[in-house]
Amino acid sequence: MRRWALKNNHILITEGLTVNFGGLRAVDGVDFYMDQGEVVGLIGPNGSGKTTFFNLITGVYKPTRGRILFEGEDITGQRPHQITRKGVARTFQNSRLFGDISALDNVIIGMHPIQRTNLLDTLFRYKKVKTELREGAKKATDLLAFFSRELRDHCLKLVADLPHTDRKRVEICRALASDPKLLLLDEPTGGMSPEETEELMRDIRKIKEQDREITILVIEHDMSVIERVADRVYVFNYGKKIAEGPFSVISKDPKVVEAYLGEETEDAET
Amino acid sequence: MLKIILLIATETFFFLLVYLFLIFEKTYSILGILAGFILVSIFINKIERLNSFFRRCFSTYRSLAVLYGIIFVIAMPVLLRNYPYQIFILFNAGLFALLALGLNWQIGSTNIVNFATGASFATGAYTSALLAKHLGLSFWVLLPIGGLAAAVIGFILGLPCMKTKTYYLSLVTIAFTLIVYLLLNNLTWTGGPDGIADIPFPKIGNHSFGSSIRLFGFEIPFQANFYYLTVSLVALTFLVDRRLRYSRLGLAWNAIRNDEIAAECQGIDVTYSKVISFSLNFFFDGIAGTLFAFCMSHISPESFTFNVSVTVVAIVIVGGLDNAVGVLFGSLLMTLIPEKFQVFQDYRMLIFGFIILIMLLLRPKGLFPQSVRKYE
Repeated sequence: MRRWALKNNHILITEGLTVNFGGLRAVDGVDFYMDQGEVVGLIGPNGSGKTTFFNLITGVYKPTRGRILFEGEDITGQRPHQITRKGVARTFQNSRLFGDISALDNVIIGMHPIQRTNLLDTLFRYKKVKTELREGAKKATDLLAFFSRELRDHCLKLVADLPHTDRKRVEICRALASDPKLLLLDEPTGGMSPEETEELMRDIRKIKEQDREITILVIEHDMSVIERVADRVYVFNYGKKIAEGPFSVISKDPKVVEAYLGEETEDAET
Repeated sequence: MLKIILLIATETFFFLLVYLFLIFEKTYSILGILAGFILVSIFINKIERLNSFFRRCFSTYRSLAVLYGIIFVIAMPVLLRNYPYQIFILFNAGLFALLALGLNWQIGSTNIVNFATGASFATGAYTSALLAKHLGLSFWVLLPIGGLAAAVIGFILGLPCMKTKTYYLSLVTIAFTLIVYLLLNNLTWTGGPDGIADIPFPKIGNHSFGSSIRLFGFEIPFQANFYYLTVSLVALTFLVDRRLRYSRLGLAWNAIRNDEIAAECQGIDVTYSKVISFSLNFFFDGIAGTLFAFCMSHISPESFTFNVSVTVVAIVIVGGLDNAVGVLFGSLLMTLIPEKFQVFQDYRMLIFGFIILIMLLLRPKGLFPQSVRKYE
């Protein structure tokens, strides 16, 4: 299998990925791949295991069975911080930011994997730490300004005091701060108005333009977002992968319509 | 110019207050000073413009403020030259400041509510005392050794602690303090309940710390030796605190305090960062312990009870979580006040409990809350 991984341009592969929580099989034998530079969407009804799948890739949960390969290397069962250091960054569904410190600090913490100073430097060679932090702060300000000038001006505010949209943006900045190869976005437009969603999609495309190498996996509820952002889509239901392919193809798949789109229209009618 | 005058006036007022508080004996005058102080601080705090003006004063002329403060700290024993016991109280405050600054990296920065201060303090004190008695090592050698011994214990305690979180973690540290206390009481080679006596005073050249010093033409009691030593160590710890705060590790601690899983997903090794936090805290506790042993020249398990841990936790909570200035202020407050109300000595822990409760209800971030990091 490793041979296969190297021959293709697959940056991330999962093989038969499964996790059980007690009697519940939250993710069930998922085979999945992503090519470098791709934007892939992950959709499915609530509770279909999308976020659990993210948690498996980033090491928050350990899989019961199956393997995860990142850049051809088996990362199954590694701790989240080890996986992040390999170049996988993520955001969370309910933006898990560090609320009682500033937005700038949050983004600088995101640079943890690429910063190099250690405790001895801090105690005895502080100049090195100072330079690193200064550079970090500059990079963080630039990142925030890349999303919005206003956000940069408010970067010393506590994150808890920022509006919802800005918090979502800070979280994406924090993830981007480590120069990741793979970016996982868990419902980045959750709780946003249509205009704000539109703006965020522009931002995601801007990220892509800035760094063509970056691979993005995005969980999304909003079908119109997925349609325009994703090159390819995976559909989950009850922890199983039920379809994959371009949006135009999967949106006509009867299984998908039944599991996901069907429900959506019913909701819309009521 | 107005700012400079205001700054100097504020600091002078504060130090005068501490001085008067120390030398007054009558309960009424002490209560009066306390009430005056509380009223002034409430007044400044309530009026937002005044509050921010004060803060700007101190941030623009920080070096002046620090310099002026240092002068007062040096001059304090000279002013108190006829009150040796009061100098000793200030030494005690410094000792607690050392303990609290270290604990702040745990409670304040990382949100590990650690009650093991009594144990780490004891480790430092007993290691140094035993080595001094049996091997005749000098104080200056033992100061880092006491710290290192405590840091090793902190590392060893830290590892199993990583398996637990929040309240359970606190319970483990409480148990550790109690175990160390019981061991010290029952082991023979630590002297049992009698402890260790006749620890020699430290020396610099020919000057023993047991003899008085002459400064600016004044004869100052020997307690000032320990006062100056402690103050310099507190200053050193304060600098270490600043460096840690503005570092990758300090940021990682703050991340862990907020959300461990999110912190791990930023590439932070949570276990490592927490164990380092334990070890650093224990290191400075060990130094404080060594200082304590050599100053008192006699130590017994009674000095290292669970009460020490509670007092230091109270200092951090009252002073300000993750704010070193607040912690210094808190240690001054929490050592001077009980000293002055000896009448209530039996209810000391009860009063501390009340103070913590009131602080958590009214001002959960402490008198001086954490400030936002600025990177110029």
